[in-house]
Amino acid sequence: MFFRRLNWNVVGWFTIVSNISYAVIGIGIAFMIYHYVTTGSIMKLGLSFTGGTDITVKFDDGAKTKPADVSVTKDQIAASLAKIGVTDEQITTISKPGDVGTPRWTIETQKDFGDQTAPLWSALGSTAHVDRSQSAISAVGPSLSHEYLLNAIKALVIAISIQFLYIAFRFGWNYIFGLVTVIALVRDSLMMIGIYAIANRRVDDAFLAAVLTVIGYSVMDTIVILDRIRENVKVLAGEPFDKIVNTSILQTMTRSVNTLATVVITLVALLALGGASLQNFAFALLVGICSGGYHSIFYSAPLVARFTEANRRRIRAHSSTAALEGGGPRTVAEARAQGGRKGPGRDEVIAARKLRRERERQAAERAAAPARYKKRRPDGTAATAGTLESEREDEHDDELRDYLEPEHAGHDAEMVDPLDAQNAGQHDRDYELGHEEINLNLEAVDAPHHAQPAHGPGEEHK
Amino acid sequence: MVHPFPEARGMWNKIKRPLGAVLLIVIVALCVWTITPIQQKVHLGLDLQGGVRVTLELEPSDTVKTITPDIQNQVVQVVDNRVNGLGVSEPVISRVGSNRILVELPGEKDVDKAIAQLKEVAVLDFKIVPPKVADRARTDLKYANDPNGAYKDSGAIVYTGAELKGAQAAFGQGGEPQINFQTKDPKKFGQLTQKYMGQQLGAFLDQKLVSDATIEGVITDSGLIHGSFTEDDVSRIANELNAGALPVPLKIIEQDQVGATLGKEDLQKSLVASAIGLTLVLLFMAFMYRLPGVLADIALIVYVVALLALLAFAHAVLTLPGIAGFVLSIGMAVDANVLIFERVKEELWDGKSLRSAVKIGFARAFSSVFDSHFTTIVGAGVLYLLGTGTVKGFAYTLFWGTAFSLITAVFITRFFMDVIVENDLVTNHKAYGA
Repeated sequence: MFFRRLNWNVVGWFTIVSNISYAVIGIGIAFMIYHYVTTGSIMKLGLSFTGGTDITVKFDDGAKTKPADVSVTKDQIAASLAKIGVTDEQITTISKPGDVGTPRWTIETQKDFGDQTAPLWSALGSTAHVDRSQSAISAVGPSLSHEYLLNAIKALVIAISIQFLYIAFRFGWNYIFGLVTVIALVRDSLMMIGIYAIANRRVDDAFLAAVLTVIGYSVMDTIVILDRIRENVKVLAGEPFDKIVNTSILQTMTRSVNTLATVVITLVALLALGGASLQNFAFALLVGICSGGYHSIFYSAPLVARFTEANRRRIRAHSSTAALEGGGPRTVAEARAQGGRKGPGRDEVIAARKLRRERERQAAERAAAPARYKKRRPDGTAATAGTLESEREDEHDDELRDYLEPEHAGHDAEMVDPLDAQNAGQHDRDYELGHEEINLNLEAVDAPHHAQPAHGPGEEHK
Repeated sequence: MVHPFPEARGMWNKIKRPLGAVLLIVIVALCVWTITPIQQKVHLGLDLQGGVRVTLELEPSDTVKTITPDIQNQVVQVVDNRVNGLGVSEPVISRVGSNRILVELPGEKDVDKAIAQLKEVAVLDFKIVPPKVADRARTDLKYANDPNGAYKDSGAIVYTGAELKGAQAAFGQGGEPQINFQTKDPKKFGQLTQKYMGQQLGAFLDQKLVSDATIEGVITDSGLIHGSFTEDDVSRIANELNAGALPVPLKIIEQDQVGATLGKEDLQKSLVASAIGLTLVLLFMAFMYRLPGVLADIALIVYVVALLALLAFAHAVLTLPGIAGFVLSIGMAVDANVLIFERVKEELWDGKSLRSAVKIGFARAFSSVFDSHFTTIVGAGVLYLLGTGTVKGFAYTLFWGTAFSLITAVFITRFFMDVIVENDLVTNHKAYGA
């Protein structure tokens, strides 16, 4: 609601955003090293991945009615376990409401009791009477734990591959969008692992579940923003691409924040009030959803701008070198060979010119249309995308610098609301049709640059 | 589209909404009926009601070198028979992979006994016991129970437990527990008893001498074994004899035992947490989106009821991770509404009429809504297929929850919005958050 009115330059924050997530990952690695030095393993792994036994035990005095708590010390438990050959155990207490005197104890050990848990209970029972109705045990054999670990990795690879394919398919096999999403997913996962290392929590089933859920969730979040970019490429045709991206992020931010909020609300409730194993899930999901939200809003979309920018620069560098090398193809065959990938053909140049004129015409219309949501520039003149575009085109400067240095081209973060463009009647046909798939055509933005070496200003450039 | 019968279309438009309303009410009523009373209809996993879950691996033995699907089925059947003898209300026995079985005994109190009973390979052998051995065994209990003692010193096996038709726990004349049995092959047993008339016939259970008696007459179709049994012993042994012998030994490779009280506490806590989470989401939506938010809230409640109905209908069990998935899906179910309402607001700001704003908002947001559900379903599906036992419950509720919420969040909310907008019930744009 209010995010779209903000003048945030989210795309410009890219470096900071990226560094923050690197920092979290870095601190995580530092903690891993610390854990390695102190405990010999970089992360705590959950029961299903290491094998072993987790025991929750509650002692009482064994009375039939209203058993009273008895006090048991950690050493007593350790001594009773040593009798049956358990020496690697970690004993902690979990205090729960209702356990006034003695809390429940949890014991974690690598030992596999296999078929026989009875000796374990009788050993514990030698300390004090064990209330089995308030105790629990879960054990995973070593052969199974390897399988679980393998399955977990398999699940991650499969899930990420499917999401990559879906994104690629969804955006017309545009590799940039697919790549960006996967990079963001990898960062999400690394950040989650980092936070787990910092919090020194066990990476368990719940963690895996969270990673898989978060992958789906943040892909969805990214898709919404990318969709808007794709739409705005049409609506805001002629704007610098990173400005389009920025506008798209701001327009979708309310949605991103609100969807994040509803999920976070429920997870916080679970974390605060749920039982132990529920808290495990809630923590993992909360960490994942937050880092997923962080990356999909502030990282993925700006990265698209970055990549597109780099791509465009590459194309431009390519065509200007071609021009330097001897003014284009010498033979017909050479021209054909180059035609596919290098400099634009005559038809393309004409098409690009047409497109540009059309855009200028539309921009003029837009300027004439009632400016409902248009922002005022400080000097009071209403700037339009069209004039900016023509100014910029003559300067041949790179859009990113233009954008980041407002004094340069004089367009101080002026943002034309897409609604203005809509007012100008651009999308009425789509509206009438309800929803129509809009093809992303980044080439439409690129087109003038393709064309540059061939027409006037491009020659000056070299 | 040009409609061939304009009058018919007019009719349809008139009855479309009332019909929709009736359908919705019927579905909700059905769902509510499916889940009442909720304690009985929605089954709780054993982490919530206590009980035990074990994964057993079938180990190849000398006689059975490789585990075939046949062997696995046989084991499932034997274990199933034994579990039925335990009297657990809703046991689950299923095959896992090619060489494992999973047994869940929710609510089972005496887990140690139950597990022992599952894996026990009850082998009953009848042997002729020489008088010397019988005398020694009577006084020397250790000798009687030693496979290298009484069992070895007795003669060859003359009849096996596999050749019994059935066995029952019973009481002798003095009230002492005993096992009655019926033979499958009366002729063989008859010949046997005739041949060894006057000698001691010993019954060895798992190579332990449990009873020996002098053959005093020809027995053909039924007999009894008595020894120093307790009541529990006889019912267990009878049960095992009935169930038949396991073809291969079983090894526990994974187990979960949860005390009943522990589960109950967790259930209460997680129900409170879920209820609070749900309430907060309802309030959030109503506060952020006003009228549409309230409509989405109604759709969300329908969603919760529908998902519970699905769980009850599919006889799925609700576990703690399952509750986590459920609650998460509540938070995600309104995602679709947030997407749609944001779009509707934009259209309203754009100066669109309420009707077209609603129409366009829903239509244009749909592809994003579909994306969000698709990507979540992929994650949940992969997790369900490859996850461990505990996370399967999470994946299950998340998967179905996401699929269901696509219907409730889009179509039910849409229905309410259409009714209100078409009849101009609320025309103030402020009520739509714009």
